Amino acid sequence: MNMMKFLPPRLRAPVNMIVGGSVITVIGVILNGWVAAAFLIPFTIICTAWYYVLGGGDSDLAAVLLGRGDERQAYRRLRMQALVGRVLSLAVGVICIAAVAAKATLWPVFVLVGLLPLTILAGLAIYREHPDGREQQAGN
Amino acid sequence: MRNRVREQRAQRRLSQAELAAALGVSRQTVISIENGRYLPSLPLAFRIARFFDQTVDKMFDPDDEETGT
Repeated sequence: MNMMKFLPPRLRAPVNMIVGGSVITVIGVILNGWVAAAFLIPFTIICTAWYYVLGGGDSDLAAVLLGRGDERQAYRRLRMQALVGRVLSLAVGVICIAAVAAKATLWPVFVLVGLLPLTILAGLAIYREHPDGREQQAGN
Repeated sequence: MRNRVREQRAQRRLSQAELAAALGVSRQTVISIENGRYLPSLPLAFRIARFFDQTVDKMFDPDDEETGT
C-alpha cells in the first residue's frame, strides 16, 4: 500500500522531491511552455542530489543545514545564524554608505537600518528569561 | 574539563553510536564530548551520568581545565 516502505530511508525524501519536482515541472510546462522545463528539470535534479548527498550523511553539516539534530548541533546552527546576522548587519552598513555616496534612493536603506534595532528589541522580548525557570534550548 | 565518558563507554563495551542512541544525541556529539571539545548542557550531563550509574561530578571533572566549548 505504501510504496515508501519498500525504499531505504535515505531514498525516501529524494524520491518525494523527484515526484514533487516532476509535478511542478509538468504544471510549469503547461502554464509557461518548455522554457519552464529547461529551468525546473535541472533545478529538481540538483536539489534532489544535494539532499541525497547532504541529508544522507551522518554529519554535523547535514544536521545544521537540514535543521535537525541534538543540542550541540542546534548550538552550532545558532552560532552560524549569529554570524550570518553579523555579516548582514555589516552589509547593511556598507550598503547605507554606498547609497549615500551614490545619492541613491535612501528610504529602502533606512528601512533596513531601522530593522536592526527593532530586531534587537524583538529578540529581547521574545527570548526573555521565563519566571518559572523553563529551560531555553539552543535553536528554539 | 575532563570527563570519563570514553572510559565508562569502553567498560560497557558500547560503541559511540550505541551510546549516542541511548542518550538521544548524534554520534558526533558523543565524539565531541569524549574528546572534550564540547561541554554538554546540564540536562545532557545528567543523562550521561544516570546512564552510567554515576554522579555528574564523577563523570565530569571541573578541576581539569584543559578543554572547553
